Amino acid sequence: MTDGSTSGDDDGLWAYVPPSEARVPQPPVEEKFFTGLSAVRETLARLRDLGGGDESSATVERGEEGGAVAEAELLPDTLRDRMAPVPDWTGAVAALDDVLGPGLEEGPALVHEAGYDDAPSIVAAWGARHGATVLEPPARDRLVEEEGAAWAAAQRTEGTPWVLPCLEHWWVRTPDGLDFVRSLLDAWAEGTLGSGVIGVDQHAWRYLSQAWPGQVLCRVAPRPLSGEGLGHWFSKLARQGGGPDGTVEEWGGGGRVLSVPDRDSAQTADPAEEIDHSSFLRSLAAYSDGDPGVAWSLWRHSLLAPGPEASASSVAAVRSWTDVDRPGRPDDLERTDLLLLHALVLHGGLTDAVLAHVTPIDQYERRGRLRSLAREGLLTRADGMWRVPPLGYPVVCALLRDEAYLPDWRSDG
Amino acid sequence: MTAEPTDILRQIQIEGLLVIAAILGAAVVLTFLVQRYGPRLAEQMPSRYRLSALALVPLLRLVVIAVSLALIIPQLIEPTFENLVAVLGAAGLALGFALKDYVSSLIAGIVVIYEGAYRPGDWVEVEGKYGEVRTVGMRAMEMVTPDDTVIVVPHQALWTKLIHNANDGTQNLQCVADFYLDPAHEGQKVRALLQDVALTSPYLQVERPIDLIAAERPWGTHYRLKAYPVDPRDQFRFTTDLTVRGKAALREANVSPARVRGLVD
Repeated sequence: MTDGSTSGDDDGLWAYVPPSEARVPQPPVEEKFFTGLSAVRETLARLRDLGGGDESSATVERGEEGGAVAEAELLPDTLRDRMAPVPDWTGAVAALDDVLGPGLEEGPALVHEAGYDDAPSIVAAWGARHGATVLEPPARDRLVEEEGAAWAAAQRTEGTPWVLPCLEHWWVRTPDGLDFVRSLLDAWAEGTLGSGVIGVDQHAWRYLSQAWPGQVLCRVAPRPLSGEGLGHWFSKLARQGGGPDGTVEEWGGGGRVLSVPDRDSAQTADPAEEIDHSSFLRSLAAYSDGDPGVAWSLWRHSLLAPGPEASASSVAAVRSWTDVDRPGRPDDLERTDLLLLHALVLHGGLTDAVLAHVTPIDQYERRGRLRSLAREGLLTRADGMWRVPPLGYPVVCALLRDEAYLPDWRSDG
Repeated sequence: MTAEPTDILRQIQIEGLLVIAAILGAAVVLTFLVQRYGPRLAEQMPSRYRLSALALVPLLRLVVIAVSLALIIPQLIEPTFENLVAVLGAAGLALGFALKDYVSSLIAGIVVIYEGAYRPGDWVEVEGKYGEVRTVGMRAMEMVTPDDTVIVVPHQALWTKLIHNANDGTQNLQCVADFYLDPAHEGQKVRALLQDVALTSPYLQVERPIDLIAAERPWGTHYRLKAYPVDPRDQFRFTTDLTVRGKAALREANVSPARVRGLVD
């Protein structure tokens, strides 16, 4: 399988390709330039700090920039729900169908899916469309007492396909926590479990592929969405959600970001006219690494009521990209933070009790650092489980790549 | 045609002295800035780039010094071939007798930067002393041992001593955890177990190889578990993690440690 497969429903918007061909979008040139300038400014500020200068200078400047759009109002919830409704992922499911075929003709298939909190599982949606059994993992503290192949076999129904979303939830990084997933993957690859599709975060898979030396012949990843692709998708979502016809512009009289033509004219609209004059969506695509779930979350989070300078056709606004409220790299990052974030990315979230097993960090320090990372927007906690939220996921992954805990994108073969 | 001795040195005016003082001042300031802020800035950078940035510090300082000399010398002497030969010959003779070791270290310092025998951030062993290279100066390098002791090693050691560089300017530094076990155990099981102990370490650089070497000794079996941490600065934490978790896993698998004392090699 070398060629990507695309869904015909969305003009090639959704596609699954071999992971080595899933190129992440690049930020616009002007953003790279401004990022470089910011890096130089921060470096100078740090040098001043090291030399005993005013330590709050960098923060103050950022605060002044943010103040320019402080009076912007959020879009009312009802309008937000219409402009950015929860996606149904039918296009992505259709694209996955093109790759896998309804009867899993390609044999055991592995599909990469991002492992952040509440990430959409296209594998699960695909399974629902085909009446497949969705396998559930045991609680993590029971993993060492069970056998992976037997656990999966007990859940599946003979003769029907099964799907296993989030393989990262099926293991724990301890010597006895690897046996479960090895047994499962072995049985799956040998075909003794019947036809099954496994979804897994690509970072978790890079690790697990070192622990389980088997071969997976069919391994695909969603093709990252570009800025243009996001524009088409957001427009379509707004139409489906019953959003008002009009445009989304940058707040304060900035460029046009998105057009939402009415349903009748949507088919005949010139695609070139739909392209925004702002680079917001390209920046969003680069920030989210082309992941639709992350991009949609940030898009929805960014929608504002149009400002006084907005054009008559404007129905919503977004801040300019540099002013968008999103998590960044923490200023007080410690080495223990990297260990915690790495463990959470590999496992798709963990409780504090399991984190104690997989990281050698004192409990009080661990809890303190987890709370600190949560304040930075890089972690979230629900039902006792620490997870990386969608908006923090790209930052955490970039951070771990920079610090060499995760391999570079380009090295995925 | 030979130059008269009086032709070698220029008639230095007050302006010339001011120029030389300005060049020296700029060189001192630049060297100070590079030495003081270069390593600090490198420490702020992501680990992936830290060692490369640290390695630039001595190189930048050498460039500053070389450019300063190239600007100052023409201010002092007439830059003809004969004059340069005469001055450098005289200087070489004097230095050769009086400051042989010092000059040898200076030259070795230039060779060190050129050959990259060690750079700031490298973990090296010189004459049984192991530590992280903190600075590479003109005459000597400073390394900090794991016990937080600073050792000054003249570059001259490059000529005569064996210098062991554990990571050689990269992130890849192999660590070894030793296990001494009672010989009555199932080798394959221990091998798989220790491999998994390394594989599940949070400090592990996952895509580097994990090796296990076993050797039979009179007192039992000696296992050496070799793997690479993500960050060379975590090497002792990594080795400790391998040792502690390895011991626990072996105990749980009912594998006993070697009992005979005093016979380790």
